[in-house]
Amino acid sequence: MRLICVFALALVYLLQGCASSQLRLPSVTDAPSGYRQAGKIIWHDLITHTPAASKRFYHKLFGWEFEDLGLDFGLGRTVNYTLIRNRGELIGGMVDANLLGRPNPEQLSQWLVAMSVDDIASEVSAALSNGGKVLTPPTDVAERGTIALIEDDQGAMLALLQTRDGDPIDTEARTGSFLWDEVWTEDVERAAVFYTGLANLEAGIFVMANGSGYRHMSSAGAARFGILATPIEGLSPTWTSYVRVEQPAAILAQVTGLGGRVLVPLQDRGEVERVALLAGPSGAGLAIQTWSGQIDIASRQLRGARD
Amino acid sequence: MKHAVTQRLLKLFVFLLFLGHVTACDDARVYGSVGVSSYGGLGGGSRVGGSISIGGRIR
Repeated sequence: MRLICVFALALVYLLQGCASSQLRLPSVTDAPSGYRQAGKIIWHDLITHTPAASKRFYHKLFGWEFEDLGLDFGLGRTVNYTLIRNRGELIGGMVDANLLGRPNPEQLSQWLVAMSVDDIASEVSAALSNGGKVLTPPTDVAERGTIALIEDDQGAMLALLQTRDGDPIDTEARTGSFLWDEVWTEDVERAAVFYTGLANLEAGIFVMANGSGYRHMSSAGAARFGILATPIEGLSPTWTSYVRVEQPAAILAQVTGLGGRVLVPLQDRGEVERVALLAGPSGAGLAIQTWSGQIDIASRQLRGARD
Repeated sequence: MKHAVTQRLLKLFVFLLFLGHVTACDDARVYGSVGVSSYGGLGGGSRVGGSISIGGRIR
């Protein structure tokens, strides 16, 4: 009889496990600042249906290291989450799309950015009020904080993250780390209005040396991300992230051999920088860019969107 | 009889442990609602185009 009781208790525990279990994720940084920088892109997750090939691809390309989170709760269940480090620095995560319980996991493969927010409940409400959509309501993910997945009013998906212990401190991106992010969208000005309603962001325009304008969003005086009319026909609104590289041509030369694709070959960005767009083995798009920090000499901020 | 019941419960317990192992319900709760990738619509062509101008950080 006692044995049956033990089994019954174990059964109840197991059945409740799924309903009450929590995805426990570590902080987005090994050294939380203790404060948040609302509007800043603070994390990048790769959703991939080819996790092994993706690990190999990005390790060979950028030297990234991958750290599986391992077992959870001692029940033998592995956590579907892998940390990504660039020379020891925590820069992102990876999720196996095959384990998300969705049909056609290959269609989910993409990079997902996370924007820092101070009050996730009010920011989710603001996104809804401005025509956005909530995919995942605010969800506690332990040390990392509280996360929600939303789509902006044109369909570009991003995560909002209210960190528990603070955001990463602002530093210059190392080679192999994320340098910049952009929303690629159909209507740039409409996107600027949407994001102006989020996280104290302000819209502005940089004027390039050639006279062309570049819409960007900033918060607390720092440029956080750009907004670009989708440059690729057939690409629905999406976020695109840029990784800092030193030798882009050498990197692009490896892409195909590692199972990826070069979507847009190397081109100039301003007077001194170079950019290109590639897709990893799972099809997730990612841009690379050189960064000397000199390009801003030729550009200046014209005005805010609220002028 | 008692031994047979115990055996069955034990098998059930092991089976549930296995289910717990293969079911990633917690991560699915957060990331399971991700939308379909925009890049998936580009097809398997090796290159989108050389005349396309993308963005990038400028300051």
